[in-house]
Amino acid sequence: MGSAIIITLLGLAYFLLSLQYELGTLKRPGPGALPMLLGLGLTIVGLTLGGNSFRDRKKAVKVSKAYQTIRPAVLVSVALIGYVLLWPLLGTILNTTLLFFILCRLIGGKGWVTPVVVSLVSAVGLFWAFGVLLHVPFPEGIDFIERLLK
Amino acid sequence: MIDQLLNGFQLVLTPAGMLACFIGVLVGTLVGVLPGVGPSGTMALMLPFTLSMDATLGIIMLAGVYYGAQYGGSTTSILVNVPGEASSVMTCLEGFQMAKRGRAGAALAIAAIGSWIAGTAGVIGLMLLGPPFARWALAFGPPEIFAIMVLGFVVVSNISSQAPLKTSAMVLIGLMLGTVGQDPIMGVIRFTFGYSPALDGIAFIPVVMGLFGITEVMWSVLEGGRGEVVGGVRFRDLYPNKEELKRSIAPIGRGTLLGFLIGLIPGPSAVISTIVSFSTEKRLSNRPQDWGKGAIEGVAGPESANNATSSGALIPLLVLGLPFAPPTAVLLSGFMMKGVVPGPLLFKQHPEVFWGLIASMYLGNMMLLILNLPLVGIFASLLRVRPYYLMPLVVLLCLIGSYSLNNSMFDVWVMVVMGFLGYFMRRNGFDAAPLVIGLVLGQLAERTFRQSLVMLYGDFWTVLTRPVTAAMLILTVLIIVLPLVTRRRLRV
Repeated sequence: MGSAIIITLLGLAYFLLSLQYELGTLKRPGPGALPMLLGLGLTIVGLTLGGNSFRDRKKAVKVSKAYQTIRPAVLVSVALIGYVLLWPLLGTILNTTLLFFILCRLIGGKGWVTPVVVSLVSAVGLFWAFGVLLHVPFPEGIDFIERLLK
Repeated sequence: MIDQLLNGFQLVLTPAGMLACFIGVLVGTLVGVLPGVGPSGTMALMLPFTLSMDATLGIIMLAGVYYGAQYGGSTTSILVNVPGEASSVMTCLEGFQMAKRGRAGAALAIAAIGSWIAGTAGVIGLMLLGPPFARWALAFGPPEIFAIMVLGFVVVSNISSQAPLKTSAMVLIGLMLGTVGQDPIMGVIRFTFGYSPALDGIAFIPVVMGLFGITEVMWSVLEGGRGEVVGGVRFRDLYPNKEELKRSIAPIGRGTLLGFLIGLIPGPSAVISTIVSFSTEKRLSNRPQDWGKGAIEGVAGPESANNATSSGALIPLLVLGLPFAPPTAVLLSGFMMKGVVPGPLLFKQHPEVFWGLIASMYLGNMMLLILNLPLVGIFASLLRVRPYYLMPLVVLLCLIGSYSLNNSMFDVWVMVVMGFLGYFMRRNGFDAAPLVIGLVLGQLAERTFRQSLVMLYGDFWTVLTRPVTAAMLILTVLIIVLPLVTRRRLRV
């Protein structure tokens, strides 16, 4: 039911937003024509999905496991968002080493030395492949190792 | 045709050509072996590496990953009962039972031989059907292309999952994402909310990386597990006996034909072809007592089918420029990045790309056979790589890879958001593939929709005077209406 409501709201919002663009005529459709149809279509699909799940609500089986994994999911999400936010500040290698290490520990890696070494080697390898070989201009942070590699 | 094929071989049989092909099929095999890392995400990750390559070589490498993954998927299905790819799920059923009976080597050998035969036959089919289809498609205008796309969306919604409404929602959301940025006819800026990096629209590759890379990692970390390897396979074990060989010939033939034909249909054709092949073999088998205990037909058929499908699925992409599956959509991006537009004119404007690709597929299938038979033990041992080292690496490849496409943080954010969305979508039974197809075809769908209405002076019924358009639309209506009528009759 929750997903049906989200889809309906998304369809409705998109439909309303599409009205600010010119619809045109059947002979000469404008930039708002297809978005309007898509928004309308998604709203109808969302409402039908909602209707179906309301009808089948008695058949629905409650999954007890459903939110058991919320905590690790949130932690992984925070780590990813943190990585993107810190990238311009820490530079690629330091930031990548940090994320690798955090994810490694979150997923079940044990100990400190091996995960730190693997994280650092992977980060340097990725920087070398993209930054040095492919000349990708990464955001520059406080990372001194990158300057050494370049 | 022979001359052009020879030209293709001339291009591929160079050190650079063979290396590109080898890297592609090797990476494809690795991706196929490792659960949680799919071909679409990997192809997307490899795009930056193809930037500095020649167009044909880049395409050869990406295509190698695509069809190579179909080979690798069988290894884990047979040895560990964990399908490396969705298209190898059916192989688990009988393949793992064979492994438990000590016939893992025979199952792996039949899977590799069947894959090779099907892969090679599929390339022959592609070579023979591609150019004539393209000549036919030259006469298509916007109404025909739009009608084919509508048919494709409806087919994807109806056959790709048990919940057509959910799939329709995904297609629509994909199409909506495709409208962000400039509109394709008048250049009006839409849905950017004044954010300038979004002016060029939502790039497709970060979306694929998010939905197929981050989501897969999150899924396997938070929901999945890994089985145990049945045991090592020695080279001398890789010989199917005479009876096993005899029993595999017909399923390989049927799997090849079914796989190629199903590959032409929009949707997750590789998965569907394996299901159809498995059930066909089970129905035709005169040894029903063997099924569930390790029937080799259940390995030979589906493994041939998924390889033939990868060739069949290239026809809509190369002939019409319409990818109807995520891996072919990434391949389309590869073409576009190289300034090569797939479609009816590809065969005239860039014959070297088409024939180079065909030649590389012959060579690649041969390489895969050589790689997959003697080195199967090495590939299986990859499963010993700890997930807590592998998964962070995939995540970081996605993050850095999405940034490197346009050197833009916007793409990285798109990728991260799509990763989260993909995970929650999957938990609620929504398939990500239709969203990707909607996004990729969004701009073209809008352009052809509006051009068609202008061409037809707004009179929709005029489309019925155009045979191809009319046929496609009638088929679309039938696909929507028939299941509803059947369901109503069943209720009555």
